[in-house]
Amino acid sequence: MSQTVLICDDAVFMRTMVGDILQQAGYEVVGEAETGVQAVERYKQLRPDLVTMDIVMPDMGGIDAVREICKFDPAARILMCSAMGQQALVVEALQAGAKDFVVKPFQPSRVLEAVQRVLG
Amino acid sequence: MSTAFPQYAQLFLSESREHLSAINHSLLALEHAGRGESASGVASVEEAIAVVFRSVHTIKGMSATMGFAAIAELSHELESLLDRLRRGELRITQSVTDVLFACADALERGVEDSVAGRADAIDTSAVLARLRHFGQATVEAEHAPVAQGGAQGGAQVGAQVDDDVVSLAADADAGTAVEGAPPSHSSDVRQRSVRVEARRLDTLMDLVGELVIARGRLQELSARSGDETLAETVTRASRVIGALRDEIMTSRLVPVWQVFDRFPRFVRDAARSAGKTIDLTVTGKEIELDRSMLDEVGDPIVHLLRNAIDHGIETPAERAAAGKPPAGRLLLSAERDRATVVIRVSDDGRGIDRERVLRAAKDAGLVDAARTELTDEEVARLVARAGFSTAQEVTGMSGRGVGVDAVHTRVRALGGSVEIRSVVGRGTTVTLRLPLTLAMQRAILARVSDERYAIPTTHVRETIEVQPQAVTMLRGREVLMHRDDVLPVIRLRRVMGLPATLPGGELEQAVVIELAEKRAVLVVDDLLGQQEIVVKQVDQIRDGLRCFSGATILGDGAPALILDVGSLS
Repeated sequence: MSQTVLICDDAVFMRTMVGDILQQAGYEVVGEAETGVQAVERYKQLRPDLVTMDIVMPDMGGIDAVREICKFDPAARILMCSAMGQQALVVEALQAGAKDFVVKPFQPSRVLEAVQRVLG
Repeated sequence: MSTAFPQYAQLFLSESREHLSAINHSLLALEHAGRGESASGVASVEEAIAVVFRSVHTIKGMSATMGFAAIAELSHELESLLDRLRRGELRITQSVTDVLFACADALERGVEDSVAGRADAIDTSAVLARLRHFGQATVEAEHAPVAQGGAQGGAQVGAQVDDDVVSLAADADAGTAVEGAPPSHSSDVRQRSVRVEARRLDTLMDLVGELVIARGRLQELSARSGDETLAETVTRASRVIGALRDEIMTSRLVPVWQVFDRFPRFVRDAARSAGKTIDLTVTGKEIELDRSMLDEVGDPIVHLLRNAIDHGIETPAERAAAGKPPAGRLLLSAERDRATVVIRVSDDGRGIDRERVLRAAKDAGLVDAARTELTDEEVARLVARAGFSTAQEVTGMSGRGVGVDAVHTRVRALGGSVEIRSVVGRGTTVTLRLPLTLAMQRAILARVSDERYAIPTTHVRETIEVQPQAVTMLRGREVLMHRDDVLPVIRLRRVMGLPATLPGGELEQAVVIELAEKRAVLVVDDLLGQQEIVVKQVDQIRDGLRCFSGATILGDGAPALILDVGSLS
């Protein structure tokens, strides 16, 4: 059975792109979230094998969402998606419980490498 | 287009446009706040900045992914400036909002050019220079006591993409500062949704239109055959076709904010160049219209807004002299009324001066020279008339007529109607009434001689039977007393150039048509019932056929013309 992914990003563009990359690589995208609050809710509901998490989102940012998810499930596997210039935030996200990160602009190969590392 | 991901170009474009619209919206609120006015529609300055920041950030990420370097660079620099605003290192002044608006414009152009494959045409150097100069100048001028060097550091990092650089610049609260920002227009609905190209939706609509025509035909044939099993099957299939049509129509509905959201910015710019202060209120943004219809009404609304700004609303000085608040009020609203959408543009400006319109109309020979007064409707019609605007230049209202006429023509072609109400010194309200969709309408079929005509139910109040002797003459026109109202009688036979009389004083079939507030009785030879029609736009309606808005194919395969009720009066 293919591994399941929850994609969290406030941009449809990014969700579509990440979704396509992962689906083509055989992962199953079981849900999407466009705010931190939704991300936490959907995680609890879907229990995906992997979460990709944007940092800047409305409602609740990605880092707080990581904290909430890890509180609920310390074993959660979360991959941060950050933009350039957000390195300090990435560090904070890793401290909050995220397992790894990729930096936008995405290259499919890098995204997949990171996903494999996290699911390792 | 030079991008590694052409398949995402349309998505990039539409989402970028959404964000640019949000940016413009929030910048307007910021500008208001900068002037000490209450920021309309946005809870706070912080929130407005957060929204702009987040949208710029998203555009940055998307454009970098698409490989649109110029946009990515500009949005990155812009983000740095916004970051400083967010930290309170920079105050919001007019010059700041001006730069922000210029950036928004440059981003918009950049996005459009990039997707259109004109990346070479993008030149952001001027606005970048402004942005950078701005940043430095203010740092020096203010000697801001920020030892962390936050913003400047941020500006220097990220231009190159480097995962390994851990900059001291980025601030930990970048994620938390946007909390409490309003959710974007999109909501949960996107969950479990697929994107479909607009073209496919159009094709679907066409196909279901053909299906509806075939259904009509099938129903007719089955009724004629008298075969019960067939009739049952046809009924079942008809129901499914109806449901299919409803689903497809619903899938094509888009909220009007997709078009309305660019108006605040437009109004701001137009008001500024006209030297006027204008508060725009927009309501009913969530009302939904067919996508193709929405595309079509954008321009007419722009016309109406521009008219209100240029000709309706007075300058602050004139307003003060008239005892009005200095800022003119402009209202754009949308609401749903049965199967139509009503869009209003209303201002509290000088209104239309009837005396002048009357005089100009007399000069142009458009009304009887003996007339001393014009009704509201006549004023509206005169102002809307092509060619009348030249006469109006005398009245100092040049431009108004042309615009309104263009609006009239366009809206009527869409099967809608226009109404103008105006009170001198108090303002003008223009009301557009539009069907929900362009492609399909309900219509009453009427017969005159051997021809059948479709009358859109949007404009039909009721169907009636007329006693020939109840029709009387009033001032040389046929009228009918109906429900305590005196309604003019229009005979479709006469409109079609046929002899008006039918043999022998029998009951005549008629519909009460309604256009805005105006009603009339339209007498036909026979009423054939109501049905769904698929509107086929007729490319060039010949001059003699002014009274038709399009054509349709009936159940038996024969074509019928669709009456443009607005042109009948």
